[in-house]
Amino acid sequence: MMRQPLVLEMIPQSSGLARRVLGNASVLMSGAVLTVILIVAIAAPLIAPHDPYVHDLSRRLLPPMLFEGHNAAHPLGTDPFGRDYLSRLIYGARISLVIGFSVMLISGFIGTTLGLLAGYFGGRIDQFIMFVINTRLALPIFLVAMSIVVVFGPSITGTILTISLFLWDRFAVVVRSATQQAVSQDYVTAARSIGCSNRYILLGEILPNLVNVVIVIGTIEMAYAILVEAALSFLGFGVQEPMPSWGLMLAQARQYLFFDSWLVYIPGAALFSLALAINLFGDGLRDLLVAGDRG
Amino acid sequence: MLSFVFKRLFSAFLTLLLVSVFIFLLAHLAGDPAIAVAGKESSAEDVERIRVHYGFDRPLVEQYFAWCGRALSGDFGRSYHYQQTVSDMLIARLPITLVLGVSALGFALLISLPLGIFAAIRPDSLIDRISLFIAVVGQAMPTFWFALVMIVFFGVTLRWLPISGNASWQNFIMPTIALGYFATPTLMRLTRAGMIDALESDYIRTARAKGLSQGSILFKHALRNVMIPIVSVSAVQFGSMLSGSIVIEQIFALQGIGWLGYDATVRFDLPVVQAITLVIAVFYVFLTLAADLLNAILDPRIRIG
Repeated sequence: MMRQPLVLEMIPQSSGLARRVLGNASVLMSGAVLTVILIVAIAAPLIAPHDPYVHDLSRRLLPPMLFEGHNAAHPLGTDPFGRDYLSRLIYGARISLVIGFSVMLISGFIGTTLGLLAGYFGGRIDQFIMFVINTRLALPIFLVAMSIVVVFGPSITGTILTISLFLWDRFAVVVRSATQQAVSQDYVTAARSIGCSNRYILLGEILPNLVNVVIVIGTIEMAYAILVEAALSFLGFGVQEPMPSWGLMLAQARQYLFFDSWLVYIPGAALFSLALAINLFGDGLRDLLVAGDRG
Repeated sequence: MLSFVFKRLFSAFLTLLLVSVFIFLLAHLAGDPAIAVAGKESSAEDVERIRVHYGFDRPLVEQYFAWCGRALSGDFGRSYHYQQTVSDMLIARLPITLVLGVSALGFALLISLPLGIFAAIRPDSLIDRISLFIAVVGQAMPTFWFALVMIVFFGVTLRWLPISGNASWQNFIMPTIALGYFATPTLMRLTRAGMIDALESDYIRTARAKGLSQGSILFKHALRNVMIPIVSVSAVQFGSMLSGSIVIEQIFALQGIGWLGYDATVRFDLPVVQAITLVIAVFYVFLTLAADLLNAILDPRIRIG
């Protein structure tokens, strides 16, 4: 029961969020923003004006464009170590996207598998999986993730695995209830009556019908994973110096809050825009894929 | 009803059991806890003395039951770093986090209930669009960045609010907004969707046909049905806010259990980390349990089905 609202939130509404805000342009616009960020991330070595790792102590904390005393060679200024802020921002997009996408794949795999099993077999298997989901939800994500990092040491792979360990629950909950609905439908009954194996029914019949739902949750969870990575790196338990994670850039900007607050605005705005674009894209996809199926 | 209560209690108990095993094992994944306590530079004899003193030389299962037994009686051991018992530290810190959690949830409900209800009464109106905007922005907003921007704006530029510590109630304003905004989108969407469903239902049509006033229809009939999912989700959100308080309390130096948890993790003060994780998990399990029982009282279909 306590899970029901989460599901409810995910159930497609005839008038989706994005459509009501921006009409159908939402998928296009957010898709365009995402494509630009993706291209920038992939082509980072070609686009970035400077090496994001090179310290230049004679050029520390140069302000960005439009501010007094800015340097044309550094359009977004330089960080406390004299590294070009724009270049770090561009390379930082790679970290966010790689971690967000990997977490989405891993947690999507875990959650979808558990959800399919729970929804299809029901009974004790369902009870057990619900119990695992409840346990996961009861654990405080940041505290446990930080402890895991302390134990195993910080690394990008470690960060991806740790976050994946925590973000599969929504996949599991939604796929479980979608599978429960599918089980009672004619095509599953038909497949059973002609003697198809459980494995075939799950992977060959039910799963293809859930692909759209999984993709929609995947986009939303990817945005969330990116925010969690940034928060962990901000706390010092995620991506480590000298890597240019946006969360880590914010952590380093923190002590300059009083005089150089632009250091805080730039990576945060990038993070917010990326998460917003992914969420709007997901909302738009939900309208196109999931609602379309029903209509 | 009674069998529902027992079933629900039993599953809450099992969840806590699994959580406690997880928390216990986490400490022992860390390699040798005796070395962690003694410090890497200590001599072999010191490490050995600590191993015996803390009971790390016993079998794992025995250690687990001893730990559980002590935790049940409120004894979480002593902090490795501070010369204090963990329970004293928790008792000192917990009220701050609870005040923050309750006020953040209150803030979230204060924003999301009225906006969600108005948005449902007049879909596509200006208020609907504004609430939608708040929800979309809130979902993508990195909570810790939002907190930093508030500090720059209200703390540094305008100098309206204190930016760190927990000396007065004013110290709680920004953390409350930052943490509360995080819970707002879900609650608002839920209220709006629930109210729209309710307003389209037969019993509301009947109420209208009977000539009841708009206020009575909205608040006595429609809202009551929406409250069931809202109670459940509020319980879940309160749990995730306790977890999120680690980030927020660290930013505002608000010295609750989140702040303590961060501090303890940095120092690898295991008994403190274990106790805080367990306390947050217990809160989550009991809140969701309470929400389920409350809903079972409100809605007979739940306890039968």
